[in-house]
Amino acid sequence: MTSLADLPVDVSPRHEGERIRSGDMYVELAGPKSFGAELFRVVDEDEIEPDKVEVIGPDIDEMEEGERYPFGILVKAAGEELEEDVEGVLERRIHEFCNYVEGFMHLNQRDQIWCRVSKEAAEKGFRLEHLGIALRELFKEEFGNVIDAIEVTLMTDEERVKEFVEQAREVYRERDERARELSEEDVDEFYVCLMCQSFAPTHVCVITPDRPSLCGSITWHDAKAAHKIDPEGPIFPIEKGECLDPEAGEYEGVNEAVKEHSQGTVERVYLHSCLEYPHTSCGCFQAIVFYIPEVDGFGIVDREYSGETPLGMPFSTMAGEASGGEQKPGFVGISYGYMESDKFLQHDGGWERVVWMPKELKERVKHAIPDDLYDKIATEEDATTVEELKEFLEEVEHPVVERWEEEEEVEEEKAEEAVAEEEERPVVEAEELPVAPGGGLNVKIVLKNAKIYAEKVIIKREDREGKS
Amino acid sequence: MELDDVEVEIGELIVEEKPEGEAEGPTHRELIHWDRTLTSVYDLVVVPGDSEEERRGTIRTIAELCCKGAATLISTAKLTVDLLRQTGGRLEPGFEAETPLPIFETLLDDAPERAADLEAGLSYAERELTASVSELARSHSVEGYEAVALHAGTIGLLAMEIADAALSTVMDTPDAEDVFEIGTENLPNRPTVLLIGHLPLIGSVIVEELGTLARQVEFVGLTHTAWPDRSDHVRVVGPLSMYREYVSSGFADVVVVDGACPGEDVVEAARGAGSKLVATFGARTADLPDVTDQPVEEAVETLVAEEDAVYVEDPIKAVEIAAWAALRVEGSRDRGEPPSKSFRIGPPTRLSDVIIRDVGVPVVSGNIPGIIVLLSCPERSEDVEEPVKIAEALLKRGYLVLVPGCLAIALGSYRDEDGRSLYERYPDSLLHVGPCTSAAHLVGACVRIGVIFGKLSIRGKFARVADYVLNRVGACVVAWGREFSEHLIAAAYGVTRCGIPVVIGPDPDAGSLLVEREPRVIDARSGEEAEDPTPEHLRCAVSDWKEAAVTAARLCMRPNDTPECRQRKVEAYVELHRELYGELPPDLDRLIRDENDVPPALKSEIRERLEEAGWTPGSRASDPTLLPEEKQG
Repeated sequence: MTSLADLPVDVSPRHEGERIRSGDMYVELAGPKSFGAELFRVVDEDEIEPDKVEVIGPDIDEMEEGERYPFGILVKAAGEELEEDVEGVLERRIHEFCNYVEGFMHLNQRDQIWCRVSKEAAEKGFRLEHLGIALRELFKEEFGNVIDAIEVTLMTDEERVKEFVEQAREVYRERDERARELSEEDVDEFYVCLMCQSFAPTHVCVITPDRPSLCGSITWHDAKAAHKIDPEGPIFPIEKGECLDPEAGEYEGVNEAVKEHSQGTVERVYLHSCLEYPHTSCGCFQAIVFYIPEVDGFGIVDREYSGETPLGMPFSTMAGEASGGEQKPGFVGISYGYMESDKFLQHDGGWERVVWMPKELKERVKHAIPDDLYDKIATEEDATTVEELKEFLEEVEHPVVERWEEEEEVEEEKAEEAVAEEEERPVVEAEELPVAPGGGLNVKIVLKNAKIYAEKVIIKREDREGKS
Repeated sequence: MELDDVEVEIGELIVEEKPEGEAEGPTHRELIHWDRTLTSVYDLVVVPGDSEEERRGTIRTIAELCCKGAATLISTAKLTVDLLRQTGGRLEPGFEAETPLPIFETLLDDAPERAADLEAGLSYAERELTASVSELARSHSVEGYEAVALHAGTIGLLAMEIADAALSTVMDTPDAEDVFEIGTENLPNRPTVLLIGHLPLIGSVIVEELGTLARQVEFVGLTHTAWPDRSDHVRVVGPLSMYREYVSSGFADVVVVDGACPGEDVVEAARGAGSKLVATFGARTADLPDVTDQPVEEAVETLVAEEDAVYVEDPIKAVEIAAWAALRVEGSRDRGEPPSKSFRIGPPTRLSDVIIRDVGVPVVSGNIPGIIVLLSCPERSEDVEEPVKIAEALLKRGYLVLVPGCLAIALGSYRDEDGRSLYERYPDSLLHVGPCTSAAHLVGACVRIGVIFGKLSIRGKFARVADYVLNRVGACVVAWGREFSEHLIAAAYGVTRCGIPVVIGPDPDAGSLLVEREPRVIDARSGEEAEDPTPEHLRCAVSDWKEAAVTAARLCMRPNDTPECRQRKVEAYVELHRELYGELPPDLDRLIRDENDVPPALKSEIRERLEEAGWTPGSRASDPTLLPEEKQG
C-alpha cells in the first residue's frame, strides 16, 4: 500500500502556511466561483472498504490548466470507540491535513471549501488520489486509537458533487440541530478543561452542552472528541452528579471537580449565575457579564468593543476584575456560545435582566435574544452612563424596571415594620449583596434634614493596592 | 445616596498630593536571592574563556558595559521625561492596559501617573546605578561581576520603560491602519532640513510652531519608528540607525541632531558632506559654539557665515535656526542625492490588554508556538539580511514576531519576488511595535500576560513576577548585530533577570558556550522536582542566523506547556530545524516529557529518534516554580 513517503509531493506540517496565488495555480477546486463540500462520516465497519481511495470524475491530469472544477471530499471511518457526535470535530481536521500536502491549498470548511493545486505539484505528478492517500494516512496516524478503518472518496464529476453537496448540507443541518438541542439534562458527563491552568493555576473551565468553554473554542462535543483522542490530556469528563439546584446549575459533581482541580480555592459553582458562586475565568473569555447595581440588571461586553460601558470602565479594565481563576460575584466571563443557551444566566433572570450590550455584539447574537427584549436592551448609542441607562430602560419599559418598583415597596414595608415593631425586631435573613466595582454596596442611603459639619476635609490620593 | 435639605459645612479643605520625588525600590541586596536562584539553575556567563582568569576579565567588561548602558538609558529617559514635563506632564502611554508600566510597578511598588513619578523612578535608578558602579569597583569574582551586570541591566530596563512611556505620551504621530511606504523617492528639490533622533516624533508640534516657515523647507527625519507621510508632520525617510549613510550623502542642507543614539561622528559626517549642523538638547557634541542665547537671526548668521555646526539647547529654536539657514544656503551648494531606499512597514501597534487577550487561546494551545522579540540596530542595508531571515523562518512556523525601533523600519526594505514585504505577508504575526524603547514595553507585555490571565499581583514583587514569566511565558528575545551597543547589553541582562531568555549573535566563538548547569523546576503542588529543562538557557550566544532561529524556537518552551501546546512547539521546532539543517534536531529527548508531547504528524520519526537516544518518560510540573516557598506565602 502506498505510504506518505511514496507520494510525488511532500506531506508535512511545514507546508501548512503555503498560499497558492492565481499565477501559480494549476487548477482551482470548489471555491466561490464553483461549488463543493467536505464531509466526515462515522459508519459501521461493513459499510466501508478499508484503505480505499477513490476519485470520481477527472483527476488532475485530465483537467485543463487554469480551469476550476466542482469538488467533494468524503471521508468515511469506522471504529468501536467512534461515535457520530465527533464527526464535526474530525471533519474540521480535513482542512489542516489537506494543507500538509505540498502544493495543495485548502481554505474554509463545510460547503464553503476552496482549494487550489499548484503548477509545480501538477508537474511533479500530483494527483487527487495522492491527496486521498495523504488524508487516509494522516487520519490513521493522528487518530489511530479510535479509527479502525477508513475510506476516502474525492469527487470532481459535476453531477456527483451536486448530489454530494445536497447530502452534506442535510448532515450539517442535522448535526447543528442535535448540538443545539442537547442540554445539561440529556447527558451524565460534563467536561473539564484545565488548559489555561498553565497561566491561571486555579482556573477550572466546566464545559456542558449549554456552556462551551469561555474562550469559545471548545464545545461539549469538541471536549468529548478531544478526550477520546487524547485520554491523558487536559480535557476530561467529570460525573455530573446530583443536580443540587437546576436553576442555578449547581451540580455535586461540578463542585467536587472544581474543588479538586482548583486546589481547594473554589468550592462551589453556579453554572448559570453571575451573582452567586459564578464560574471562574482565566483571561481569554469572549465576553463578560457584569452586574450594574444601580439598575439591578446586567451588561454584557465583549473584547471587540473598546468604548466605555455604563459601569464607567471599558472591557479591558473589567476583564481584570473577572480574570485569574477567582470568583468575583457580579462578573462572569462567558463565550458567545453560552448566550445561545436557554439556561443563559437563568438563576439571575436570564435575558430579562440584560440591559446593556455593545451594538455589534447585540447584532451578532440577535438570534439568541428573545424578540420582545431586543429593542429594550440599550447599546452604547442609547447609554454610556448609569443615568442615561436608567432613563432609557424606563422609556422602553424594560422588565427590570418592575424590579425597581418591587424593591422600593419592600423597602418601604420594611421601614414601616421596623418602626412599628421596634421592640421585637424580626430577624430578616439578608441576601448576599453583590458588591459593585469599587467596593460600593447596593444600598440606598437617604439623608433628610441633616446638618453635616466637618472641621477638616482631607482629600488623599488613594493607594491602589489598598483599593483592590 | 439621596440627599434632601442637607447643609454641609467644611472648616478647612486640604488636598493632599502624593509627595513628589519619592519612590522606594529594592536594593541589589534585596534582589540577590532571586539572582542566586537563577544562577543555581542557569549558567548565565556565556562569554568565552578557558581559564577562570579569562572568564573573569570578560564578565568584568560585560558588567562595565551594563553600567554604561544603564547610564545611557537613564540619560535618554531623563530627556524624554523632560519633554513630557514640557508638554503637560500627565502620563498617557496611548494603549489600554491595567498595568502600562509593569517593570516600574514590580520594582517601585507603585503605578506612575505623572512626569514627577517617572522622575522619582529615575532617581531610584540613579541611586542603584551609583551603588552598582561602586560595587563593580570592589568585585573580584565571576559571580560578583555577574551580580553587578544583572542589577545594572535591570536598572537599564526600568529606565528604558520610563523613556518609552514618556515618549509614547509626547509622540504625536499619524495613525496607520495598513502597511505604508516611506522613503526618499520624490523628495522635492528644495531647501531640506534633516532631523535625526527623537525630534521627528514631535514633528507636528515643530511644524505648527514654525508656521509659514515650515512650508518653505522640506522637513525630513530619521528616527526609530515611522508613520505615513503627512503634510503637517515631519516626513520620516528611514531608520535612525542608518544615519551615517543619509548624512554623508549631503542631501540635507542642514542637519539637526538631538540626544538619541548618534555619536559625535555625525558632526564630521555632516561637515564632510557640506551640510550645516545644529545640535540640540542631549546631543553628544562637545565643543560646538553654543548659540542658545543669541537671537534667531544672529544664530542663523553665525551658522551660515562662520561655523559649520552650532549648539542650541531649545529644540524648537534649533529647528527654526536650521530652517532659516537652509533657506539661506539655497543655491550656494550642490545638494547630493539621498540614498534611494524605501521601506514598506506595518502600522505601529502597541500591545493593549485586548491584543494580549486575543492571543490568549493560541498561546495556551501552542498554535502560536512562541513570542519572539527581535532587536537589532542595522547600520547598513546589508545588516538587515540576517534579521529578515530569522524573522521569516520563525513567521513561517507561526511564531509571533515583535519588532521595535530601527529594525522595524529596516525590515521593510526587504521584498519577496512579488514585491511584498514581510509585513504584507504576515500582517497578523509580524508586528511593528513602535519606538526603540518599546523593547521594554515588550518585556512588560510578558509580565502583563501574568496579570491578565493569572491575576498575578506584581507591585513590589520582582522575584515572583520573574519566576512566573520564566516558567510560563513562552517568549524569547533575539539580539542581533556585529557590534553590541552598551544599552543593548544592559537591556539583555535586565531581560534575563525578568525570566526571559536572550539569544545573542552572531558570535563566531559561540556553540561551545551552550553550557547548562542544572535546569530544573519544582512543582509547587507536590513540592517535587520535575525533569523539564525548559527553557534550557537564559542567555545564549549563537554563531549564525540559522542557529539563532532554531535556538529561539527551542527557548520558547516552558514547563507549564500542556501536552497539546508542547506538541505544537516541538512540531514547529522540528520543522524549522529540518528546513534549515535538513535533519531532526538532536535534543528531542530532552524536550519531550512523555508520550503525550509527541506531535502526531511526526510520531514515527520522533519515536525512532527517542529510541536511539534511550529516552524514558519523565515527570511534569503542573504548577512550575523556582520559588516554592514564596508561592506558599
